[in-house]
This record gives sequence, structure tokens and C-alpha cells, in this order.
Amino acid sequence: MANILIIDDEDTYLELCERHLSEHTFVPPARNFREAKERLASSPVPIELVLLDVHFNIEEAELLPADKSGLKGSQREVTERLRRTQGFKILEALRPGYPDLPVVVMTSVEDLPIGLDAERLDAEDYTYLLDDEYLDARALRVQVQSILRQREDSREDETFYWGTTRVMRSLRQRLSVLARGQLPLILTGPTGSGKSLLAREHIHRRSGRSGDFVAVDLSTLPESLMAAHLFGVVKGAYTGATANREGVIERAKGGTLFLDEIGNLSLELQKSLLLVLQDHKYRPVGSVEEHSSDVKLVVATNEDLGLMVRDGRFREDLLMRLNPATAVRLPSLRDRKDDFEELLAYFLRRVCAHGYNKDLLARYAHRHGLSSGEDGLEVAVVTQKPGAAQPGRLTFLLHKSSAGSLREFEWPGNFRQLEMVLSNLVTFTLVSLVEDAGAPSPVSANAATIRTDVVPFPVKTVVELLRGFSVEEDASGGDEDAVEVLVRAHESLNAVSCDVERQYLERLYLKYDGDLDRIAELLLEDGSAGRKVQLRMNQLGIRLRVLQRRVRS
Amino acid sequence: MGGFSSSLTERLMSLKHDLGKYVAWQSANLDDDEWRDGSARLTAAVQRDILGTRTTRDGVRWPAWVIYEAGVEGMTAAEREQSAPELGRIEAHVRWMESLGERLTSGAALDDQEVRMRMLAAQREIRASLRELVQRARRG
Repeated sequence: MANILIIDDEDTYLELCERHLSEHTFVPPARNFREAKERLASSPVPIELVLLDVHFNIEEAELLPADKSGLKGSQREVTERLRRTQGFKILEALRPGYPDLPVVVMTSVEDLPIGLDAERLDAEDYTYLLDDEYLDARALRVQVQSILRQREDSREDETFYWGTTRVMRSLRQRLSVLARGQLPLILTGPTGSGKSLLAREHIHRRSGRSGDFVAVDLSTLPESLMAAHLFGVVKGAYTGATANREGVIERAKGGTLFLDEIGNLSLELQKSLLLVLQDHKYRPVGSVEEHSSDVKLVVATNEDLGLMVRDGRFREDLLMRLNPATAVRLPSLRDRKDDFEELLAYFLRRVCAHGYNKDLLARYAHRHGLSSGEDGLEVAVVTQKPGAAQPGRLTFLLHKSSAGSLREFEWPGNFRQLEMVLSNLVTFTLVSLVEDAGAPSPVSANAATIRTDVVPFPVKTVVELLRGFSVEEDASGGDEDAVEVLVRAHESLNAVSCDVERQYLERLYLKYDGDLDRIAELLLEDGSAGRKVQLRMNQLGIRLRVLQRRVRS
Repeated sequence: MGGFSSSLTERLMSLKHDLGKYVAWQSANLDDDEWRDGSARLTAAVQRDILGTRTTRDGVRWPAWVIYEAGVEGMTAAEREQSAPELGRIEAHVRWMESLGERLTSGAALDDQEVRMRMLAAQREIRASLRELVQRARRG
């Protein structure tokens, strides 16, 4: 099922579609460009396909282009001509904002207006002509289904999960537009947020460039080798340069050059890169000859380049050439709580599709007769025990507390970290089930309810995996009055509160040099109740001797 | 005879769109069995296609013959001659549809299998003729 927008001045297509494509949802139709733009921008559901008529018998004021003064012919001729070709004008106006949106132009090739370049339209990605002499519902149905299937397939191929939130949809749209342009592009965002993945899988793919995608992480290159690596080197340029070697700018010719951590580029090399952007020229190290460059440059950083300019660490002219106005910031995993469940499911499928996990899954499926055929086992994750088993499907059951812990975790390493945690979770869970022949069945000890197609993730494993990433500060470091609260799944409120109390009393003990009466005065407003404080500390398991040693030292 | 002028070609393309496309808009999707045996659905579809070939946004319905007349209005004798024989065939079918008059409006005409089969043939030939005519015009 898909959400479809019909752009048509009449209800003919809408009626036909509602009759013959009833499995899809049709958002209210748009009657002209203005309404189409409005619907696409503000639809509460993502529009996945547009059906566009060509002839629009609408008021002259609503016809594109808005400025008709330069058009040849009498006013009547101009209006008639624009009405007959309005669909294409609408397409032309919408396309830059929605480069990935499939649009079915509902006219046959032979109905294309005279002078319209049919080849250009055919070449336009995601525009399909319904090549039929009249709009046959069956032809339309076939075309719509095939487009949606293609889209579904390509979505599955995407290695970056976009999700369904408006923010991410708009980000994807923006990147698709910027990918097609000639100008450089800056990607910012925290580590692990998918900058290099996007550069390779989204921007380069949509750039329309036939050359290679070449990525360089400038943070891993020694400064002394950076110039040769970027621009190449000629034989004899320096000791050890025994042969000409091309740089990444040459290797990415006609393609995309991705420079990660651009802030690591020295000021001298920034100047050379500026020449590449300004004049499309560069000189390999040791060469007097200028080479020409032809790259789509994408740079990434998690530093503030503006701040670096102010500090004199980054050239302002280079920053200006990098097109900072269109810089795209990728959100952290923390900022994507709205689609966290989908992200979880997506990354779980990813970690199950490769390497050791794939092997473990195959062995588990074999052992329990979950035959998966050539397509492999379909993997899902749920927080409630699913209904009936489905052939070829394995469901991981995530306890609600584990789901909550994963969702609320800070994820400083973002997607990279999430992927790693999930990969480990799958490995640890399956390995005990697969390699330990005597292991109990995956779900329930009750034989009557055993479900081999449902594998629970142990809560303990989730807790331990997340704990492995928690950085516990040294009690003596940082803010001396700060108390750290680490809430773990399945931990009672009392345990958490005792932990806080313990830390607090320890800090006070250190702060007041072990003077229990002063602490009692502070806490109980009774300067003679030090004994009570000591008792409470004992109850909490605080080792006073250790603390006394620290006070003395 | 000279080539088709661009204005004539454009007019014929409009006629192909307005008449050729919508004259069989709904009924073209019905199966042959339904044409042979007749049905309320078929009657409704044909009435919609022939009596309301185009419907304006304010709900005014234009029958097929009105669309045809608007399309050829002002065409010179030479242009009509240039558009023959296809235009002649189209006109003959359109006039026959018009001649059904009240019987088509009430649906009674479509109770007759012979009328139904002729209607199907007429719709198909209008589309085919307009298609051929436009192809010929575009070739110049």
C-alpha cells in the first residue's frame, strides 16, 4: 500500500484510481502547481508516488510559468498552449525539490506536446510515461506496482536508514538535490552518524558522475604524506619517491572525492585544495606541470569550521568555496528517538545479514528446522511475544526494560555503536543456543509453549553490553559534589537510591575530612548525631577505613 | 498536398486528447463479456464516457459530439481535406452516437446487443483514427 498524490484539474483520474487501485491511499488531489507544492510539503503521510495529468483546463493565473510576458503568440494561444503542456511545467517546477519522487505522467509518448524533448523526459530519473493511447487502469496498475516494487527493493539496498520522520525525509530530499549539483558539500555531525556512508551510498550514487568514489580520512594520514596522497607525486620529488604516483584527486576524476575530517588539513594544503575548487587545477608534489581536476568534493567534519577560521586554523576563502550555506548536519542517534524502533529493526537485520551472525543464524535455523530457502531467514525484533509462527521468519524478543535501556542510552558512538552492540547481542544470544548442544530451548521451560522461531535477548546481556560503554568517573575527579546515577535495567528504585546516598555520603566524608558530626549537622541539623551518620554509612556498605586512608593522604 | 501546419497538428492532438482519450475512459476497462451480455455497470460507464466525455470543474458535462465540434470548429476546408479520411470516420461515429439521443440518456439503447457492439467498435475506431491522424500529422 502506498500514499499517492494525483495532480489533475479534474476528478477523472482520481475516480479511476480509486476504483482500480483501491489498495492504495489517495491523498486529496492537487488541481494546479500551487496545490501540488502545498500537498507535498504538508501531507501528514509521506507521499510515495505522484500521478500527473498533462492537460490542465485551469485559470490563466494558476498556469505556470507565472511570468508569461515573454511567451510568443496571442494571449489566447499562449494560454491554450500552456494548458496543453501544464503537466510538464508542473513536473519541471516540482522536480528540483523532489528529485527522488516517482512521477507517472499520464500521457502517451505520442501525446507529448510538440517541441518537448521526450528523450530528456525519459532520461529523467523517476519519471515514467504511461505509454498507452488511453489511460487503461490495468496499464496504470502494472506501472504503479512495478515502480513501488522497485522503490521497495532500492530501499532495502540502502545502507543508511532514513526512517519515516519528516526531518529525515526532508534531509534525504535536500541531500539528493545537493548531490546532483556541481558545488562541494559539507557534511557535519557527530562521529558514527553516517557521514561517510551517506557520501558513498547516497551522494555519489545520485551525483550522476561516472567516475569512482574515493574516500580519504585525513585524521589517519601523517601530515608529511598528506600532500602526496591528495595530489600525487612525481618520481624524484623526494627521497623514496621512486616512481610517479597518482593522488586521490586523479583517482576520483569524474567521480566523487570524500575528505573526512577536513579540519585536519594543514593550512598549506588548504591553499592547494582551494585551487582545485577555484580553477580545477593542481600540481602533484615535485611537478611543475598543472593537472586538471574534475571531482565532486564532499567534506566531512565534526568540528566547527567557522570557529576554526576565527582561530586561524582554517582558511576563510576555502570555507567559502566549500559552500557552507548548504552544509548538512546529520543528527545523532540520540536525536532520532522518534524512529528508534525502526532503526533497531533495521540494524538488527543488517547485523544478521553478514559474517558470523549470518552463519549462527543459518545453524540455528537448520537445527530447529526453520528452513529459510535461498532468500535467507527473515529477522524481526519485537517487545511482545508474537502471534503464530511464520515460515522462514525468526523473531528476536526484546524485554521491555531492554528496549527502554537501548532507547534511552546516550549512544556517544551513534549508529556505529548501535550496530556493534546489536551485533554482539545477536552473537552472544545465538552462540549459546547453537554451540551448546545441551542448552535449553530458546523460549520457556514449558514444553507446550516452546517456540523455536522466537529467541529472547537475555536482559542481562543487554545490560552488560551497555555497561561496557559506560564511563564511570573517578570519584576524585570532576565536580567533587557531583553524584553519578547509573540506572540499570531490572534495578530497583531502592537500589538506585542507596547508590546515590552512598556516593553522596562518601563525598561529604571526604569534603569534611571525616568529621561525622559536621556531616550530621548538615544533614540532620544535629551536630551531635555523628554516630547516626556512621551507622547509616555502615548500612550502606561504605568502608570507612578506606575513606579514612584517603582523607589522611 | 503540403505538410500539416504546426497549428493544425496541435489542434488534432488536442482532439485526440479530449475526445480520443475520454470517449472510452471507463468503458474501455470493461471485459468483452460485459459488452456482449450488457450490465448496469456497462450502461453507466458508456453514458459517462459519451454523454460526459469531458466534465468541467463546475460540473458541466460535454458530450462527445460537442467535444468534436469544438475541436474542428474553424478548421478550413483544406485542413479538413488534409485530415481525411480519419476525420470523416470519426465524425460518422460521433454523429451516430448523437443520433441515439434520448435512448442513450435513458440507457435503453444499450439494452440492445447490436448497439452495444457498434458502440464498442465506434469507440475503438475513434481512438484508432485519432491516433493514426496525429501520427500522420506529426510526421508532417
